[in-house]
Amino acid sequence: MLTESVASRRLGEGYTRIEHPSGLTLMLCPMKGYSTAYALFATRCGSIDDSFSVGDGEMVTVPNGIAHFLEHKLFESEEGDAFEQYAKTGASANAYTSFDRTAYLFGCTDRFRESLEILLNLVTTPYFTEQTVQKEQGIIGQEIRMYDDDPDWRVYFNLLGALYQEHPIRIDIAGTVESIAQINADLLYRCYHAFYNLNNMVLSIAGNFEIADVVEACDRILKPADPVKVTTREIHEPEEIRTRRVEQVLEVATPLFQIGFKGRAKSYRENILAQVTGELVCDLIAGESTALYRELYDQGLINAVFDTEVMAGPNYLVHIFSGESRDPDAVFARILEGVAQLQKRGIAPEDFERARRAAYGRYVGLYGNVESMAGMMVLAKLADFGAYEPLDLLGELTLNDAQAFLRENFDPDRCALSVVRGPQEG
Amino acid sequence: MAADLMRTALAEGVSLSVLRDPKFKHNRLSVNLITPMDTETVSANALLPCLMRKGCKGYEDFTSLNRRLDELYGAALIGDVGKSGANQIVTIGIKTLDDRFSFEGEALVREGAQLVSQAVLAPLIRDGAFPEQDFRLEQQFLIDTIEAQINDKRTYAVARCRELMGRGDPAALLKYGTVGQARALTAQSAAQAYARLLDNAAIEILFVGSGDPSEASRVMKGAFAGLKRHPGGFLPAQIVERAQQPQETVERFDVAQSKMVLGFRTGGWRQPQQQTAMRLMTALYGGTPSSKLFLNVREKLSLCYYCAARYDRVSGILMVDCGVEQKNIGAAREEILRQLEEIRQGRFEDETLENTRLQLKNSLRAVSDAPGSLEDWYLGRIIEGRIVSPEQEIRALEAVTRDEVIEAARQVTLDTVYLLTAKEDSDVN
Repeated sequence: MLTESVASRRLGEGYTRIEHPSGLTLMLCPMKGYSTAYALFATRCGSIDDSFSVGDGEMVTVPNGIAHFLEHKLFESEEGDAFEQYAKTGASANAYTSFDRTAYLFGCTDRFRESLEILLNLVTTPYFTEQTVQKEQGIIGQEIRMYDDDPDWRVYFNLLGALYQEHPIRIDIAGTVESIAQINADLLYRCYHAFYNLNNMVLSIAGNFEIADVVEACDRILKPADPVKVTTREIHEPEEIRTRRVEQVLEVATPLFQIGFKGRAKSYRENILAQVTGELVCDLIAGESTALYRELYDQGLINAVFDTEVMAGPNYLVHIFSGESRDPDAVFARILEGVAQLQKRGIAPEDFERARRAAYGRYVGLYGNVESMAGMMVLAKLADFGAYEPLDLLGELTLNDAQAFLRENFDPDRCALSVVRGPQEG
Repeated sequence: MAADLMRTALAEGVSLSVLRDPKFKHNRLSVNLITPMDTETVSANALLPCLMRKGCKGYEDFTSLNRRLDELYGAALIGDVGKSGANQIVTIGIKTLDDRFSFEGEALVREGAQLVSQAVLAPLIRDGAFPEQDFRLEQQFLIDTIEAQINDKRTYAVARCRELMGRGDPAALLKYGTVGQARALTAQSAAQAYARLLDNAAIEILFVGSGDPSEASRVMKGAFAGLKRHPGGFLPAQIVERAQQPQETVERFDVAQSKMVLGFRTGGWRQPQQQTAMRLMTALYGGTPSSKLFLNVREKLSLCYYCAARYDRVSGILMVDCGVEQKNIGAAREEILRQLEEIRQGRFEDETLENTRLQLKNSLRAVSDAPGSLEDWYLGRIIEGRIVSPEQEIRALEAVTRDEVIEAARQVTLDTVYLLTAKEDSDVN
């Protein structure tokens, strides 16, 4: 069993990475003084993985929303709902699907070993029948309709749909009522056998637990799996965006907007680490300490809801400025101006140093929280980086790195505005 | 492990509570100004944290204030308004990186405390008014916030039901007040509200984190020394014990999915042990993923996408809220009430009760893992006038018997049904 200790000099702490004989990678970070243990069992299978091949087999295309559907169905076994099983241990459990991954999780303060056993069994024992699939189509259909009414969700997906022409991040994670209607038990098993091979998965745990207990449970429960090679389809995303502006009418008091810049996507690993620099550059463009923020705020164009965010994953990297405004188009124009000016005159060294410190302080916080630490370790395994690399990157980031990033990823021809406004404002 | 909460009086009506735990990487320091909810002042007080967050002596505009926060390793300056029963809470707080992680050993606890004390005691008020432009913007933002509550239909429906159940009780006022009240404010009246709040609020300061609180204590003690104030106490909420005829209200919006909220009274149960029993009963009814409502209304019958119960012991109100297709509204309501009846009749397994108890214990223990949740927990207990630790509440929970849970369910009476639904009486597709 290959065991590696990964330590952070800056924080004076570390975690252990174990390659378990079953094929599964274990990322384990016991944290002293915490009551909670938080465990994530995850796979690199997300909503964007809509076509794949196994080994030398041919490419299969599956309906949109199948990763999320699979997540719902794995949460059930022959003995019933996973919530019922976890109820016996007192753990709070859940699962989620994002663009690039699916994760099954629990948090507990007691009876850790029993909960871990449930988690390992749950994810490694698929059970679907045509009846249970049909019932789930009803439940997920309602979930999709709930999101159809959600202005924050809509303004976000409309933006992604404007920026991307081919990349499946433009499609809702849960799919559509029509796409999930095509899902059946056979398709679910095909997806499962491709993406839920232990060699492609990670078990990440942070907080109050013993490493020996985890290894013992894995030895006992997990059956060694032969490695399989899963290839997802190559995404040929054009340079250009699809459209520069998109608008939808929903019940909102003040219009919501999201402005997105389509970054230069590289490898999965590079994109995830680029997120750290991207967040800092977004702060330098329109964070609360900038003159641009103040101008927009004082003119009543934005309010305290304004925020910046970076989304990164396989073949995508997006920088987002979002908020509420009576005049989203004016905000869009000013952000574009602000970016152009900053690119022209360059980032001031003192502004850079302040932003770097601020980002550093926030990142330290991530390592002091069981949920975010476990999440960071999942991503570290899936995207192949060390969980402390983001912090070290911030410790060493230079002004030139930030300048280069700003020039490369904020192209005025590769950005779009998404607006959701209320019916009364026609 | 965390030590116990240490309380000291810094001045008349100003207390400092400290909870230290070496595992944290940040420190939180919050100054909470607590005053009775009142129609006359609720909106003005809600506006104050936004204005106080804009600048203060030494950092007279928003940009210089934020640059200072960046220098302090991305310290978060928090301005917030909340409520607990009949009390409104205006909070100014700061979350700073612990000194041991700073690049050059800067004293971040002290620097943070100084900034907070300036924000609380030296806001930008000149000639009896906040700066006109700041005021206009923050007033508009408050109005937008009140109006935006309809964006989040689930939260809005719960708040509306609570408001309807209050029937004029100040404790039922929305924490931001109304658009009308917000519009009536001026830069002068906001400054007067600030002066009044500072004069009569009970002030609770909390420090939670890994750092040394003595610097924060010294800064705060110095800041409040010599200040002549007339602080009041905390107000208990008025509790309506039993519902009469259930009141029904329907409101229509452009929505695909309806939201239904059932508001219940929980009788005269005010003893801590009775409240703990009510809390356990509520969790069994609809507080966990293995609760009666979740398993039956959502999972078994697929009547709702979500269906959950919550209990506010301060107001003695229990609410069930659900998201439901229009055609299922009647069936969902019937099933929700039927599940309550099941508990009243004792039709639940001992095992289910024990599982629910375990889950509640789990979430109570988890409180100690985040400075923010510890701060919320202890501030709530301080205002209720009974300071218990999460561990003590766990022991109380362990003592609740099956009969007490059944008895708790029998105290519950339906008071209000609030329905937020589509404009047309047909299913939206």
